[in-house]
Amino acid sequence: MNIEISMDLMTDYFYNDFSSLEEIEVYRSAEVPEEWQNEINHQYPQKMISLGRESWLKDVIPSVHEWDPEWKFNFELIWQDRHRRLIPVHDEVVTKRIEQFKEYRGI
Amino acid sequence: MPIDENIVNSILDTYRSMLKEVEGKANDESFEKMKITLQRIEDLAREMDDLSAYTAKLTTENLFIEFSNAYSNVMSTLMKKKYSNGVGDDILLQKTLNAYKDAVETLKDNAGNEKLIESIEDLITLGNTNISYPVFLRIAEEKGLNKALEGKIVVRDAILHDVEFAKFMHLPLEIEMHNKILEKYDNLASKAAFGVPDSFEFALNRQKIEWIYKPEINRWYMIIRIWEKILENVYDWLDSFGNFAPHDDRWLDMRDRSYTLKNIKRTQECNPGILKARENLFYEYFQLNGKIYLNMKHSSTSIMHGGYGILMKH
Repeated sequence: MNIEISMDLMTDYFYNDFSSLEEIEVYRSAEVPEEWQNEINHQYPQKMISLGRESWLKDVIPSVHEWDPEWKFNFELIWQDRHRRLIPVHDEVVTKRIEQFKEYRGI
Repeated sequence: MPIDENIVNSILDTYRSMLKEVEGKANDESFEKMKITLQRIEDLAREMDDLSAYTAKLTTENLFIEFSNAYSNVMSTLMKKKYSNGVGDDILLQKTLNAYKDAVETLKDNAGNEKLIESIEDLITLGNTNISYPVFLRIAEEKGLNKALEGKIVVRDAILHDVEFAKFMHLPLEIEMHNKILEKYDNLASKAAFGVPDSFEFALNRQKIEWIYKPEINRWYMIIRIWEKILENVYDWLDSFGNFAPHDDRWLDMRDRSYTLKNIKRTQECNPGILKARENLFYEYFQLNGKIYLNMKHSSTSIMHGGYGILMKH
């Protein structure tokens, strides 16, 4: 039972990543002079995504698999009230962030 | 050829000592199990010639675990015998008081435990009044001393500390939440026999209050986080025009001055666009009325949001 609760709490990774997902969105969408576009709009967000994927594969997954070798992130759980109520933004934003989260973590 | 005797001795001497320790004191099934298991271990050492295979065999046959379990049972039986020789209550009382004394010594190492120490010392004083262990337990219950030990004063002080800390940090939701927790604690305490709430009942109530406040607290921190990013962006942009900028860690590049100047240029040219993107994000999240007005080209920045405004010039 405790392991089930721990696995359920892995859903928190989604909301915990919000600040990273926001940064990626901000830098991708910022209107900057052409001279800086590659660095600001592409390189910087891409570097963040690389780091996000690396930590997911090297740290998060191995650690969670010690508890449950079959574990995969369950996106349906985000919409369960116990998790959804803790994310203080509209459903449309959550839907968008889910897609960004998949890209950021390489899921 | 058997395994090297020196290696076998280094592995088995500990177990031989354990058996020797209880020989003559114990004579039950567990003791027999210890003897049989160790004998099997010794036999295998003589029969086998490969150390890896030998240790693997010990593991697969669970021999060390079986020996240790039997040893634990023997020790447990011996301890029971030792403490059931007619004066058990006195020994239990003495052991309880000694444990309390040890606890006091440990708690003294850290500041802030004075009230808890006081509660434990009350129990020690009671125990030293020449009463029996059952009487000690009864009086401790009647006077609520055991409850005090659960941390009546300590818990209430901790909640008060949470309230004060939230006030100090200007966190209105946390102030409200901790005050409600305090109110619930006092309410339960007023109904409790010894003025101390049942710890499980209080924990459930506390969790419920925290559960109610959590979404709003998350929302609060999200607003703060995005606002901080917005303000940081503006401060950096303003400072980038200062004559100190080339020496400031935010832009200073040790490789070459040209890198430093490039960093400054990036902030000056990109921060307005990044700020606009942050503003869009803020609006998308909260649809709050108000807008951030920036007039960076005219060397002054005015941020207006609801009734809150900042005017900065450089």
